[in-house]
Amino acid sequence: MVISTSVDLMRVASEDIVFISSDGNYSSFVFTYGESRVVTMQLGQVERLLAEQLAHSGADFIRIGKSLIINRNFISYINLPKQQLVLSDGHSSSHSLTASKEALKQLKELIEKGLNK
Amino acid sequence: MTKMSDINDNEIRVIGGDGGGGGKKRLPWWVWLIVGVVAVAIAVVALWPKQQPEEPTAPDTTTATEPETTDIWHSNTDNSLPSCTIVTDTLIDTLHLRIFTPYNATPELHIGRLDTADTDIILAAMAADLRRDNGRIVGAFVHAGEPLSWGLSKRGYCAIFDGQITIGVAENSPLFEQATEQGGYFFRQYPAVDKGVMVENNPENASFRRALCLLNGKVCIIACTDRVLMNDFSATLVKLGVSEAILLVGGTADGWCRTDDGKMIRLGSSYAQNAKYMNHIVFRKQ
Repeated sequence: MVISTSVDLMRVASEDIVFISSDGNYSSFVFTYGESRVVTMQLGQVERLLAEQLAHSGADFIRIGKSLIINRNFISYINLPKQQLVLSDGHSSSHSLTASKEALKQLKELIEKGLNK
Repeated sequence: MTKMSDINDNEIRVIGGDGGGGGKKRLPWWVWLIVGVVAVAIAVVALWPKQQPEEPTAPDTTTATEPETTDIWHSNTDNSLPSCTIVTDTLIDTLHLRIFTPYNATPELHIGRLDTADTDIILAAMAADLRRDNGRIVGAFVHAGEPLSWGLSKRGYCAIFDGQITIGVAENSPLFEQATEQGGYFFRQYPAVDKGVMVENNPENASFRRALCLLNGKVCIIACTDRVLMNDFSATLVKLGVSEAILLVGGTADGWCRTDDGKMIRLGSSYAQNAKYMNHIVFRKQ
């Protein structure tokens, strides 16, 4: 996918995106190869780009609450009481994130149902 | 672009899919029909008076990425002093405050344990909060250009570039991005004072409070020696004359300073913390 702002352009393979988090008007992309990049774009705008540019593989990405988009292929652990979500590629990359219990519960049910896979 | 509906923190949404059952349930078709009819009726009523001439309005020059504040940068220099911290005590109402003002020093953020024997450090205090469950930093944090944490959990921020420091309150600060681009430092904390006005936070238990402040144009750390509520501490800082302040890790969190005679004074009493992301704001000798 291509993300272009008024000052820069980022071209990235969607399968390399582990998650995208928000800090106000900025979005931070975290990649499988350990790098991260901040772009001047709100998370909602990133979500729209994902939906538009990734017609089929866009469904790999899930918006969780106001501040997080994850790649469902990297979900390795969900713990509701701890509100913990671990994204991992199985060997080199692991990220522990937090989300609300309700959102994680819905995510867990979604994965269990195996829909849209 | 298609319009994305808003989402709250208790919802999820499959992007590009139909939701997969994880998000909101679909409304029946007849609800949409009623909504459509009502919307058309409202539109007709709303457009009716528009036949009258409208007064010209000023153009909207705001943009989504416009910063909320204009930051002013500070560094304390005094040629009559060595690189050191001047410690002063004062009493506001009944609250005893200790003011640590570093002079001729370079600020930075440090990750990991600090060496208390490092005499180049003239002032150090724990900066961003850590999560109790996983030990990670709460809120956005940039260390020497490397973003280590993301997210807006607290509206106060501190940024450091080229030996200068700024403190402010904003949900959107371009300094996070600037820090990643220019090798700077950035962290978030609870706001306490914004432009001389106290910022209210959700009530918490009384504790030993500590804040990074701008007092009379100088950067300093102010700590109280009694347990106090967060909002009471913020109000006391305003009475003292603080113009900007964000809280630092309080309680018995690690911290110390060195005075002009080389004496070491502790800010806290917890020295054994060894979390991976333990972080300090540090002022080093120039």
